[in-house]
Amino acid sequence: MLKKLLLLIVLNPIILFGQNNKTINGKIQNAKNEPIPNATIKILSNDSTGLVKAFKYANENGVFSIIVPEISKTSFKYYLQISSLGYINYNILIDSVLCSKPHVFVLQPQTKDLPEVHVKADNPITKRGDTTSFKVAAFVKGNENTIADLINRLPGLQVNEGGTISYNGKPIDAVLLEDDDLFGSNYGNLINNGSVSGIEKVEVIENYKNKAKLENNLTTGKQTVLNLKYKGLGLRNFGQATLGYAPNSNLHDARLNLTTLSKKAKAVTVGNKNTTGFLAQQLFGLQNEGDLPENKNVEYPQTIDFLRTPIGFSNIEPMNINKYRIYDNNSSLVTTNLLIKPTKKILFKNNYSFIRDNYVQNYSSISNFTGGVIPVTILQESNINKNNRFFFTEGETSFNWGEKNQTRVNYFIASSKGEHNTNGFFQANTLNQNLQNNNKQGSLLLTHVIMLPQKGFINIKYHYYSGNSTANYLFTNPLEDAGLNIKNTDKSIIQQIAYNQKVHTASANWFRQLKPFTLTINLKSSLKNITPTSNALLTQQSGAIQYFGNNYNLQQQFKIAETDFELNLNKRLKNKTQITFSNTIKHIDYTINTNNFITQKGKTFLLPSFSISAEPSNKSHVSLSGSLVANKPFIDNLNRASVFVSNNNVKTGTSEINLQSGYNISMFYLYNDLIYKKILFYTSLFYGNSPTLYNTNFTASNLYMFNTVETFNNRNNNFSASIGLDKNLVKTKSWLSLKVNYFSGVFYSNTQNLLSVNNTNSIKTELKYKTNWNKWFNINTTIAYATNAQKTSISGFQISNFSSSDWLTNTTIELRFSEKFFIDVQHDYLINNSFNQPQQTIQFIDVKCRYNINKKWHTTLLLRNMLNTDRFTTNRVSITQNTVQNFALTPFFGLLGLGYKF
Amino acid sequence: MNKYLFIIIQLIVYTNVFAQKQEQICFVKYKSLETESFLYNSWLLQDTVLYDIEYVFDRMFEGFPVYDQLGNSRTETDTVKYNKEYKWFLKTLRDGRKGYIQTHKRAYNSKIVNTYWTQPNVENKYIIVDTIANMENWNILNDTCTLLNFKCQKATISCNNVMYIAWFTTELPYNSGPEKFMGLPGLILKISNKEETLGFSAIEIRKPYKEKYLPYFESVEKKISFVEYERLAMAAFNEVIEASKNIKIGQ
Repeated sequence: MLKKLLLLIVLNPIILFGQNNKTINGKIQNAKNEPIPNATIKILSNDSTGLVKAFKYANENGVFSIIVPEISKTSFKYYLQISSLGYINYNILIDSVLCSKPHVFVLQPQTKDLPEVHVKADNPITKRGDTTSFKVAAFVKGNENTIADLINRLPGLQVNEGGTISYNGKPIDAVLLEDDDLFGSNYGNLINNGSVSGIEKVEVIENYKNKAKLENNLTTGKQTVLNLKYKGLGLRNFGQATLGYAPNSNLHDARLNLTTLSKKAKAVTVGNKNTTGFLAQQLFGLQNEGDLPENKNVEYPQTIDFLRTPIGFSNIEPMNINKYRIYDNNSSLVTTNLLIKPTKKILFKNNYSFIRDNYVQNYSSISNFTGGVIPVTILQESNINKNNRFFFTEGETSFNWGEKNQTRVNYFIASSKGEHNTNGFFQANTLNQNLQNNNKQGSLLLTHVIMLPQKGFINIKYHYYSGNSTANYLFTNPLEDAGLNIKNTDKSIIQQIAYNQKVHTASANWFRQLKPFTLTINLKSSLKNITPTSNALLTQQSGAIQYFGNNYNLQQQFKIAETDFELNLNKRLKNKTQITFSNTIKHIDYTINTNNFITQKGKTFLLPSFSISAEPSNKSHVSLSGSLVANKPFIDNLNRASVFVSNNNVKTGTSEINLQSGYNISMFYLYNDLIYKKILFYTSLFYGNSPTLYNTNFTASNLYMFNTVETFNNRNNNFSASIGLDKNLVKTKSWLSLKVNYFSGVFYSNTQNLLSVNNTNSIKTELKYKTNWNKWFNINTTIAYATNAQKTSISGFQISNFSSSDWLTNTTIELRFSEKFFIDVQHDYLINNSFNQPQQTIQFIDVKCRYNINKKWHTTLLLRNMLNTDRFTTNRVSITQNTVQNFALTPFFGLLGLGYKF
Repeated sequence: MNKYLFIIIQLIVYTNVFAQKQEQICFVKYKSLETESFLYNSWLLQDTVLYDIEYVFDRMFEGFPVYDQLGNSRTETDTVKYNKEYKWFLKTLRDGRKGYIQTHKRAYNSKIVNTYWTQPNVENKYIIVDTIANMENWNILNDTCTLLNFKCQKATISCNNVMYIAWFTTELPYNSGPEKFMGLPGLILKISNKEETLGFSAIEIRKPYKEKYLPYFESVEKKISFVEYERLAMAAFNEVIEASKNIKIGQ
């Protein structure tokens, strides 16, 4: 007790000191006792931060009084600093003595020369409102060939496969050239082929709206776009031409990009002719063979259902090997994008694209069967040969009739032809397959906008779409097969499938803003009339092996009518907080006529949705949204299902349509401080639930050799989450980037009246490290890990449970030996752990040398696929079988190149 | 001989005086977050700060006039094709600003700004006396960042119903900032609203300032209020507009 009392007495002054704010009073003067007026008195934290906690200015007589904030039990938390121009700073720790009485502080004159300072702002990233600007000069190294190379160097931006760009985990909707949109959502062509020549600044604009559309003056912007700013003003031409030749393997690679800019007209021309593995369709930005490059930024009243026949030979793209290593190709690409604004009232855009790909993929396999009495070895050699041609033209013309009326015309025409052959083995017998795929698409959209006097507009649209897709398939098998019941008459099987559709859509949209709640009323009515016809010539059916004999003709007609009425309430609060609630009444009416067998189904949905978004600070953004959505069958699904409905011999279903609504919930959080703390973090969550889509009591099997067994979508659940982090490690002059994507889904399907359940879980993780140490030596490295697990059960019995994982490392060492000479060494290393197979590894090394002769000319030497074999081998082992598969890869070649930049 | 010696002594004295004076000056250039058409230059002297506006003419207009043989003008944007006309246009703009002097001067701890103002062909020279808003209610925060290699601390203030965020550095102990902003224990290097659509950001700092140029400021007896100055400025502006009515610039 006595000890406690003594302790209390000892600590008493400190405790009392800590409980009150104290004041420091004083006078500042020089060594000659002359007062120093207007000196700055600061109270700073006595730690490594040295933060200012309080400050005052002395008066003309050098007298001041300053309150010490929050003195704690431990003294020496703060120190006092007195500074005045021409004098050395006076520093003293604050304690109770300093606060007890007025003091005189004597400042000593500054006698030493202060270090010279001359700094200029060179902040490569600036943010102004919704626009984040990247100065290109701060990021380029001098050896970039395409805009994709440049974009990948910018923090927060990533070029994905196919040339699409994502920013903060969200997709970029368009890439503008000096505020004008020439490419729409098909900007992959520009990103993959455009030259960085002349680009001064790259801007990311969030909440962007295209003001060329009259009605957008009233609506809020929802898009995120990239805007490329070029050097200079007025008429300018930028671009690059390169020509490469590999003498040892007779390969060539020629590329041309020309960008012309002026105030009234802009044009981008791209040309590519190569045999070095770059398929023209991929350079154009089409991820999958036969994709239609629909411009998603054109607001069609209804989504275009692009029908494709179910016949196709899949390309072989093993593991994560870069696609340019696996095609023996001869490809050509010519595109032109043009925009003209002759007057303020007229806008004209037109694009032309010619794509041609001719490529071969070779593979072989050796199978040893040891289960029988006599071991059997089967050798197989196969190849896939494809010749695809594609033409696409798209245009937009806009007329402004005064300030209140605008008419827009959007159109596109697409035509593709594919000639595909495979030569190989089928059941140990030689097999030839030939497929001719033809597609023709045409679309015309007329839009008229009338601005109303009181913050409203009427938007009337008419859309016509015509699509035709045909497939002629020839299957040649010279041997009879009693086991499979292939008769002599069935050695050659011919199948022809054609899909035709014509769509008429009309919509009217009325928009009105009211105060104070910014009530927005959208009235939209659309009519969609689809008339597809399918003619199929079936000669063989695999499941029951029944011979149909004669031609089988199928006549179908689908009519779908949809009517939407949407009520939208939007309230803006402080701190950019927005609450939106909308409710849509949707009526869908299906009529299906299949060989005069008519099925009809109509349903009215009530579909509420909400979204809340807020910006707690100017660096962070959070949003939450949820909605009910109407689930309806795709035309493509109905088309295929109905083939079997009408044929009683194959015991098919009733084509009963079941329409229900599902729901989606999503959340997004972003923290973006690339300028000061140099960090970017985002996370998003999504959960979707779609109930029974439709039910046809499907019991039949597929067409012979075609994967046409459709999964009938019954009650799917899927959940995805992603996290992204970009951090500038200032001390090590580098950027660290981490991305994690998780997906979990349960998919139900109903095949032959048996309910099958598929559980899928996958995780993709990617860690990138990019350095900017100096201009002589840098490293970019990526480590990616992907794992996938899948369980399948049918009628409660588990039939498969497998998992696989892939490791992929990609390291590029960037060396620069002089101002003009660059060497990039790229190393790819892949590890694949497939289920029930031994681990497979493969690695590639590429060396790219570049010498910039002057500002315009450069030479290159590309050494591709060094130190790796020309084939990729997999080994499949079981108790009775050992199969080694060899897939041919592009062998080593050295490509000499010459480039001219202008 | 005495005459030359006197001149040499004068030169040495003048050079030393000038050198001392320049060594004490810190020069800061700010860019506006609103527009790229002007920059804001600030010379921080021993007791006072001088500042003026630097116009960036080629950022002001999207187009420039080109005249045909008949003297009719049209607007062009192609600076390569019409490079001669473009340079002439910029020279005209620069020449048009010659003689216009508007230099602001303020003591560090004072809210009184004196502006020396004169224009060509006008004999009157004014000192405009204006009082800037009170900047004493700064809220000092603990956030820090580095701007132009200077460690900065965050402070906020509400001014004219706008919440401004300032980044100041105690490494440059000047009670100053761009335009009206002051009152912090160090130079303000960046000031903006939350959306960063208003305000200024420093883009260059020189200490000591070694250039010979300093904005001209003359102490004249004729002092007018800011309201009176606005009236005069509007009259001068209208005069320029009248004179340039035949020239169509930009869109």
